[in-house]
Amino acid sequence: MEPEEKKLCAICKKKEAVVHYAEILDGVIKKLDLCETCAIEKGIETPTPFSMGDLVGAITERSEETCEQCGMTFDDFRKVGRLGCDLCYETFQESLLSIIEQIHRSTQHKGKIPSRFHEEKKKFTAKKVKCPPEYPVQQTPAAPFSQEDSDAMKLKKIQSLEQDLKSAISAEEFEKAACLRDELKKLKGTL
Amino acid sequence: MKIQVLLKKTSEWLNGTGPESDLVLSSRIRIARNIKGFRFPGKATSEDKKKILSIVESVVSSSKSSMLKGSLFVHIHELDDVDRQFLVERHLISPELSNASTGSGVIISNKETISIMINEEDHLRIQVLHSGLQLKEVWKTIDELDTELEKTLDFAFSSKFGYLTACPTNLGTGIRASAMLHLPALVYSKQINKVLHATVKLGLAVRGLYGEGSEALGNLFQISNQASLGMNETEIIETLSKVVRQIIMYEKNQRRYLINNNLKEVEDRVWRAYGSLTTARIITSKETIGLLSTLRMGVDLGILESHLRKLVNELLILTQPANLQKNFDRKLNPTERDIERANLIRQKLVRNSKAGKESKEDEK
Ligand SMILES: [Zn+2]
Ligand SMILES: [Zn+2]
Repeated sequence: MEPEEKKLCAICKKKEAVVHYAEILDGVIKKLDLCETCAIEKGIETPTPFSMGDLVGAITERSEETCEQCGMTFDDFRKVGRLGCDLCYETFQESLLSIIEQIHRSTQHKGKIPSRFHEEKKKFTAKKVKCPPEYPVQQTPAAPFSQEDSDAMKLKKIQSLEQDLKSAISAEEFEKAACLRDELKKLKGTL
Repeated sequence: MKIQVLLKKTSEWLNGTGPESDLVLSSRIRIARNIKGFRFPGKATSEDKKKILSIVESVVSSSKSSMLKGSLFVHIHELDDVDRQFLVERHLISPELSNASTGSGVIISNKETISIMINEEDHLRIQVLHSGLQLKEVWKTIDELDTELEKTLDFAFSSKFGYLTACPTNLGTGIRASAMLHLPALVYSKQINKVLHATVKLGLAVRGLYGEGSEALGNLFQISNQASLGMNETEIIETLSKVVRQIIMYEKNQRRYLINNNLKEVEDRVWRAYGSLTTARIITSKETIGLLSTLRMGVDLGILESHLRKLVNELLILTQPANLQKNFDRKLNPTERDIERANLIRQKLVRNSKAGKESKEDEK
């Protein structure tokens, strides 16, 4: 078996071959090495392996944008075709969307979700959390106070709730946070 | 070297059992996972990689899951070239991982059905391999394993892009599912081209198992999904299974046609292959793969005894350069290898001397 080397496209003989395809003609297996353009023309929809670098280079613009977590720039990615870390996906999301669409014909995940991610999300979005009595959802008070007094009290209450909410989130007490947030919403709605 | 223990047993996926095992050698799924907050291996420092390696190793060794009991932990940089190649030939690591330096490793389960590659292109590449066509069962195993690991490992995930991977081609489910098919009749009758074209059109990838690029030595083809985002795991696996079933049907039709119309020609090929393998004194790995493919077809068509199937599967792996050298426990030059390969094949096949059904007929 001969070693793999850089080959020119078998059809146009100009560009570098990036699509490798086997064709069986008269019982003989013929290897076809084509460039992206000729492969598409031949109706071969880029079977594996195709070069990520080429694809990325062809459909994205240069950019000096840099990922905070790993230091990778979008230009680095255009050269190597691999991202540097999970945060890169957030940093370069705009530019990545067209590449992802091109590869997968979709840009939205459907399928397994890690259970810890699932739970965090559930804690945040749960609408019907049973709130413990120490964080009662405030009912509109049957007002022994004047309207002004009651508003001042509500503002004070809102301030303290907002403080609680912040510390609940930073302590990752998401259930408590959800209750506090609901209570805040209701209170603010009555102002 | 500790990987020596693998030599003593046959990988379970070579058993030649499971649904459609006459045409489907194996079903494989691998998933890509990364740990939140760490740079991907290509951008990570060797300190980071060592840290990830030890985190994953400690998670696996402290897991109570029966799937991981008795696993073998291997650090790639501690292996010599032959050992690395040995693991590639047994489908336990990828060629990419075999070139890795410090900080990369693999965890191999007891029966060689599970391998967890650490710091390949992604932090984790989990692979499950079974014999025959059983992608659903493979998914069940790998899903369970993934759920077990994510109890302690915080995987990088976004609700939009799914599991975040170094290369955007693996984004979403992180799945690559594949089936390895033996399609001699389609190749023989020159129908394979049409079938492969149609497969590619359906969004699946095809490659030859052995040989450079997509050349298909031994009539072995690997069919796999391309897209990993936008469909869930079950949909991806079902699409692949459907297409594989269709290809199996074409191959079976073609085999029936061969038996009905060209039986003597097929028998001649099979027995000549058997003759070469049992008498050769020097044989290359390329020639071996081709002849083993013909032998396998002989078993499938009832020309040779069915107990040979497992042996043919085994020989496919054992006759490859690194497996051969591990068996001899020393480096062999290419000429020595071709001689020892011929010896090994003769030993194994002659021990199974009652190979054919026709030989009995001839004695009458
Ligand atoms: Zn071209
Ligand atoms: Zn990054």
